[in-house]
This record gives sequence, structure tokens and C-alpha cells, in this order.
Amino acid sequence: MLYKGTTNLIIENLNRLAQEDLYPVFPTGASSEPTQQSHEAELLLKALRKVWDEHKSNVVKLSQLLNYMDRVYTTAEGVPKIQEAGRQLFLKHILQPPNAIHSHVIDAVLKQIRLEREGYVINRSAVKECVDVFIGLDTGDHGMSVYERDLKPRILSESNAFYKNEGVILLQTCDAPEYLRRVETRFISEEERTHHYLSPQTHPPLRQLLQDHLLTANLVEVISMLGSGFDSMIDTHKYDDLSRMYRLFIMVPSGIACMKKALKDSVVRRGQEINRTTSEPTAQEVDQDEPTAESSAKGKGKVKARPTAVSQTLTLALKWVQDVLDLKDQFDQLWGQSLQSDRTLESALNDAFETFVNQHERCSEFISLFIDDHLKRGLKGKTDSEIDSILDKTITVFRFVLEKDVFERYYKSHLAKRLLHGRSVSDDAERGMLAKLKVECGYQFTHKLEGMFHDMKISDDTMSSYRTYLENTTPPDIPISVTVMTSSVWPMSLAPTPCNLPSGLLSSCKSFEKFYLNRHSGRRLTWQPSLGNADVKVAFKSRTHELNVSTFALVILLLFEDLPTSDFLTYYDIHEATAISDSELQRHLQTLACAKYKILKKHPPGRDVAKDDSFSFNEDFSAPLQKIKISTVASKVETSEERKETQSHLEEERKYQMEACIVRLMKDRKHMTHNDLVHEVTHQLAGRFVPNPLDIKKRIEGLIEKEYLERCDDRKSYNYLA
Amino acid sequence: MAHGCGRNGKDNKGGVDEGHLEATVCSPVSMPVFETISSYYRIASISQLAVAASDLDKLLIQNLPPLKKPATASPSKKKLPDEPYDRTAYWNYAADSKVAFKTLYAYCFTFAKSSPASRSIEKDTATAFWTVLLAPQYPIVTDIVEFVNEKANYKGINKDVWSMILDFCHTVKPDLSGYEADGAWPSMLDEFVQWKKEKSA
Repeated sequence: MLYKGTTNLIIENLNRLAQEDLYPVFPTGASSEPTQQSHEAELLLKALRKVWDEHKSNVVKLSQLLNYMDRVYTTAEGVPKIQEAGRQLFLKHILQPPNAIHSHVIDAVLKQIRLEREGYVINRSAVKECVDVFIGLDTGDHGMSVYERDLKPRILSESNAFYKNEGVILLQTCDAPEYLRRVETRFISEEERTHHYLSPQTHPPLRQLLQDHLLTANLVEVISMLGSGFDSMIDTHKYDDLSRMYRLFIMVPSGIACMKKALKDSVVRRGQEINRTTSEPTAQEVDQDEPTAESSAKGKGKVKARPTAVSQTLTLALKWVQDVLDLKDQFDQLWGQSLQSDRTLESALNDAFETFVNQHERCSEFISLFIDDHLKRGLKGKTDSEIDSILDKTITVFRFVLEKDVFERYYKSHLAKRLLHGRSVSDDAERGMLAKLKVECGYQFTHKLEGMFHDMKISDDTMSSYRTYLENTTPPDIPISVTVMTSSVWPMSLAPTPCNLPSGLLSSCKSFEKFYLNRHSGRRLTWQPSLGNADVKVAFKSRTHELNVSTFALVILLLFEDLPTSDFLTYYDIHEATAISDSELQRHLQTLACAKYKILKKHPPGRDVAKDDSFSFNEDFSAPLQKIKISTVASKVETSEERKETQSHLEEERKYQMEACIVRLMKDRKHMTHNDLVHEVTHQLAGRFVPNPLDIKKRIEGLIEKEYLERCDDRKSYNYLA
Repeated sequence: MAHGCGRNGKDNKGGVDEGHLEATVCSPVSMPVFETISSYYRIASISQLAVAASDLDKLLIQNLPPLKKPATASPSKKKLPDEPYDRTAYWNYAADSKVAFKTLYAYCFTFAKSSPASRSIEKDTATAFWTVLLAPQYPIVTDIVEFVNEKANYKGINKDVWSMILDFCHTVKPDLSGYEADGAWPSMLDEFVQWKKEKSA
């Protein structure tokens, strides 16, 4: 009886409170002014809080009064204690769905949130106090609060709709950096909101909503936005925007993949641009030669080698490597500054560089030329550490090259020229470079290069002991200096170059041969006059000059020694007397007659040497300097035929390497499956080149035919046959 | 000894079967060998030889079911009165015609070589053999022969390719099902598959 009376009392009280405080502040809906609406909502929320507080204190008082009843009656009758009953009644009469108060309050909360999202200032504490009521009220359903049951789903669905719309609007109205800025602000403000006046547990689902609608849905659009997307951010060095992009994108699983792709595309595009610009001049030349090939050559951006002036190739090579280095620097900076040195993105970067570097078919040659140029002249006036950093950078580009054996080929020939002509600026730099290559590619790679250095050193020693030896015998008329090159180590062809040396030189050679073969019996010396040079004193009308010319040029000059000045020698005469091959002879005659220093006169005059030209000694030659170094006109760069030959050489070499590798592996393992074998071979040769699985297969078949291997019965594996 | 003879006998039968092959390519059957065969099979006349040859042809090449073995199989080597020749060897082959065929096929490579030292047989010879030996059972061989003839770069067929072709025919159906690109087939067969796919595309 008392219990029932009490509950009635509470109900009455609640109804009264609602009547007095809540109904009057129900939103009128009369005003569409946001601040007005906000104010109305605020009043309602405050009122609710007031009702709750009052109700709570009343119930507490009642429960204190009726403490005895709670203990004796309620437990026995199985009805809730007064406090509990008060809570239930509050729910039933104020905050239960059919009740108008309930929906009005929830609407008010949602309205406040929306208003704040739209940028208006609201009274956060009012919202918070009200939300606290919701959180504090237990629905009696497994401890679920009213907040969880009624408010949270509404907030989420409201937010869902809001951000879905927001995503679309932002995409339409903002450029990429602005978009990202807005999105980031949204993330921060939502976090604050949940922290300040919603429950913290609402944060994860809200955040998920933001990620879904603002990021995942629009990743691709934002990153590829024309004129403001990823690419242009890189162009304009907007590192802050980029790091914001990274911060946001990394939140969602598809974000990093999207960035990776954009990054890769961007690098490859830039790289191809570099490739294109550095092959353009050659392309134009091709165009002149074969207008029909124009479109295809340009379309591919790759151009078959054409005879181009060496200097032009060199400039191209330098430009290409420098551009690639700059690009690499730019992206390294970007990666470190904005992308927080993300590993996944680094691999994307490397991938991209590898892709475009290898798309340039002359990458190996160009890198080698770049190093050659720096070691020959570019290092003058630079400190050791500068040299080191340049070479280090070059190595990073080199690392992207897949066909390292091609590079080795070029490097070898460039190094050989530097060593033989004494063109290298610094021995230390040379050795430093070698050490770097060794670190990069292993002992095998630099083995022969080191052999060349070794030969140079041995030759120095040999020459000094040869001079001592000469002191005790009658020295030949012409002193010579010899470099003994191990034929397997140097890239020059073993075949002797035909050249009839004059008797004076021959006796010098004989003298050295005698000396050398005495010390090392059983060795064979082949003279390579094409690689040598000579100092010669020539008396002209005005004065005597000391010329430094190639050995071939010397041999040609000596033909004119005993000739009356006015006499001619035809091309044919010279060819007969020297036996120098046509291409070499033309080159050296051009050097002597058509280049900067005209020691010979060509008849008729002209820039190129033809087979029916004739030559005479230019007695009137004069030059300001006493000593003149006449550098041979550079031979043309590889013609396409030579290139083809180089290519086939290379392929041959690769075949042997693959076979050797297969045999090595099989000898070790005795039995391997086909796929394992192919995989291992690819892996082991990756340091030099990337073998094609089909080629490996062919090598395996070759070895089966030669009975090094046999197929097993399962058809998928092989046995090694000792 | 008896087994060795049997192989010779049977295999040479294969050779005789393809009597239309150019004699210059295949080593002709020498007289002593021929005599051994005749005595082994107890063949005394050309007609008996023809019967024996056609029996083996049906069994191995055309893959027909073997002849019914007479119920009263005599344990002795003595020739049964109703047999046109001594079929002891024939019954042996009939017991497992697959293995017998494989032996025949492998032997044909040695048989077809122009000289014992050479490592491969000529393309024309190989295709002719395939047409006769494999084509009746494996229709895909017709395509392979066409492919090999079309491509000029296959001059000879080495032992590996020769034996792998039989496996290939076993494994891969005429519609190319059963072929795995990452398998270890000789590259010639890979190219064949490529060629056939392009052709049918």
C-alpha cells in the first residue's frame, strides 16, 4: 500500500515536473535561424537535466525515508527498491519512445551536434549534462544504457548521412590540399566531440564513418585530382600537404596501396620524360635519315643507336644521369620529409626507378659514361668527400640497372681507356669506385677490373727493371714504354691489329720482347699499336714542335719523313705501306689532316677522308705551343651493327653463365625440381642480369643433351649425372 | 638372350612395319638379325611374317585388344599347331602393351639415327615415325608434326625431346587440357602449345 503510494507520488511528481519545465521549452519550430534553434535545443536539454536532478534528489530522499520498507517489504514482494523504481518510472514517464519528451530531447541533441558540425558555437556543457543522463540511465536490458539504446544509433546514422553528403560536396568544391585539410579538421573535431560531450566509446564507430566516407570513398579522386593532386603537390614541393595526405591515407587499408600506385606512376612518368628528352636529339637524327621511322621511333621514346658524335652522346649521358639523380634526390627528400620514411612506399619508389631506368636501353652505357667523365675531368677542384658523394649517388642509380653485365662491359672499356691513356685524374677515386662496385656486386664483378689495375702496376715495375736492363746492354734507338696487359682481363680483342711498324720501332719492340720473354718464358706477347701513343719531334718551317700522337699517326707521319715536302702520298700508298685497316687509317688521317692541328695537307681539302684522297706534309704548320697533344678524332659511337654484335656477344656470354650456374647448382644438390632450379638460377644471376626462364629452360635442355643432367620420371625434376 | 632377341625381333618388326620409310635413313635389317627373328618367332614364310607383323601392329600401334590366348597354353616352347607362328613373345607384350609400346618407341630413336654417334635424328625421319607410331593413338601428334614442319628452326630431334613427346601425348589432350605452363616440358613443346593456341584463337 505504502509502496504503491510512493510510486504514485513519484509519478505525479514527474508529470508535474514535465508539465512545468519540459513542455514549455519544446521547440516551437517557428524559427529557422540556427542560433535560435540552438538556443531552443539548449533550453530543452537544460530543462531535462533539471528535471532529472530534481527527480533524483526526491527519490533519494524518499528512499532514505522508506529505508525500512525497502528492507522488509520490497525484497519479499519481489518489486524493485524505491531508487530502482524511481529510475524506472523516470524512464517510463519521461524518456521512453512513445513519449514526446523522449524524441524531442534526442532531436535536440542531434540538432546541437549538427549545428556544431556546421560551424556554429553551441553550449557543450548543456549537451554533455543531458547526454550524461542518458548514459547514467540503465534500460534494464543487460546493463545497456539509454544512450547506447536510443542515442548512439541515431547519432551514428545522422553522422553517416552527414558525412556521406560532406564527402561529395568537399570533392566538388575543394582542391586536393584543401580537401585533405578539411578532412583532417573533421577527424580532430569529431574526436574532440566524443571526448567532450559524447561517450568515448562512440569514437571508433564515428571514426570509421569518417574513414569510409571521406577517405576510402574518395582516395583515387583526391590523389589524381587534376592540377592539385599528388603530382602537382610534388611539383610545387608542398611537403606539408603531402605529409597530411600520408597521415590521412595511412588510416585506411586501401590508402597506402593507392598512394603507392600514385607514387610509382608519378616517378615512372617523370622518369620516362627524362628518358624521352635524353633520346630526342638522336631521334631527330633518325628522322632526318629515315623520315618513315619517325613516328615509331618517337612513340617508343627509345631510339636505335645511330652514329652520333661522341660528345653528343656524352652530353646526353651526363644529362640523363644527372636528371635521374636529381629526381632521386627529390623523391628521397619527399619520402623522408612527408612520407615518414614508409618502407612500403620506399619499395614502390625503387620499383618505379627500376622500371624507367631499365626502359632506357642505354642506361648502362650512360652510367658508365657519367662515371668516366667524372673520373676523367669532373673531379678536378672537388674535395674527396664531394667525389665520394657523387660516386655514391651514381651507385644508387646503378643499383636499379638490371643488366649489370652490360654495365660491366662498358665500364671495363672506359676504365681501360682511362688507364692506358693515363686520363684518370685520381687513382684513389678510381679505386674508391671499384670498392663501391665490389660492395654492390661482389668479388666476381670487379675481379677483372682489379686485374687491370694490377697489370698497370706490374707494368710499371717491369718497365723500371727493363730500363736497368737496358743500361747494361745497348739500348735501341727509340726508347719505349710498354704496358703488359693480361689478355683475359682487358676488354681489347686478342687479334693483333695489322700495322707495319718502321724498323726503328721494330727493334725497340724486339728488345723488349727479348727482355720480357727471358723473364717469363712461355708467355706470348701480342703488340697492340692501336692503343699506344708516341712523342715525336717534327721540324716545320717556322720551328720544331713536339707532337704527342697515337702510334698509328706516328707510323703515318714517318712515311713523310724522307719525302720531299712537295711530294704527295695517296691514300692507297699509305694503306699499302702501313697495312692499317681502312677504318682506323681514315680516322687517323682525319686527325692529322682535318682536325685542329693540320700536320698534313689533304688534297682535295675537306672534312672527311675518302679513299681517293692524297696527302702531303704541311710545312707551314705553326702553333703557339711547343708541345702539342694531338688527340685522335674519336671514333663514332657504336653503330647499330656493332651494337648488334655486342648484343650477341653478350647473349653468348650469358648462355655460358647460365649453364655454369645450372651445373654448379645441380652438382651441389644432385636433384632439383624444375621450378626450384629456374628460381635458384634466376636468383643467383640476379646480380648480373635477369635471365629469362625460357632461356634457362633451353640451357637445361642443352645440358640434358650433353648428358650432364637427366630428367626424372616425374618430368618435373632433374638428376645430376656425374 | 631370349629376351634380347625378343626385343630385337619386336622392334625390328616395327621397322619392317614402316617399310615405306626411306631405307637410307634407317639402318637396314641385317641378314643375321633377320634370321634370329625368324627362328625366334619360328617363321618360315613371308605370309607367316606378314601375320606376325600385323598382329604386333594391331596390338601396339593401333592399341586394339590382344588376341585371345588359347586356353590350353602349352608350357613348352613348342609351336602350337593352330598358331601361324610362335606367339610366346606376343603374349608377353600383350600382358602389358603400354610398356611394350614404350620400349618400342624408345628403340625407334636408336633405330632411326643416321649414325650411332649422332645425338639426334633428322626432323623428317622423326615426323615420319611419329605419324606412324603415335598418330593412331594420339591425334595431337598430327598438330605437332605440322608445327615442326612449319617452323624451320627445328632441324633435329634429340633424345630428350623424342621421349618427352610420348609423355606429352599421354598427358596433354588434343584440346591442350592437362598442359601446365610452368611444367618442365622441353621448350619446343612449350612453343608448340603457344603456336596451337594462337592458331585456334
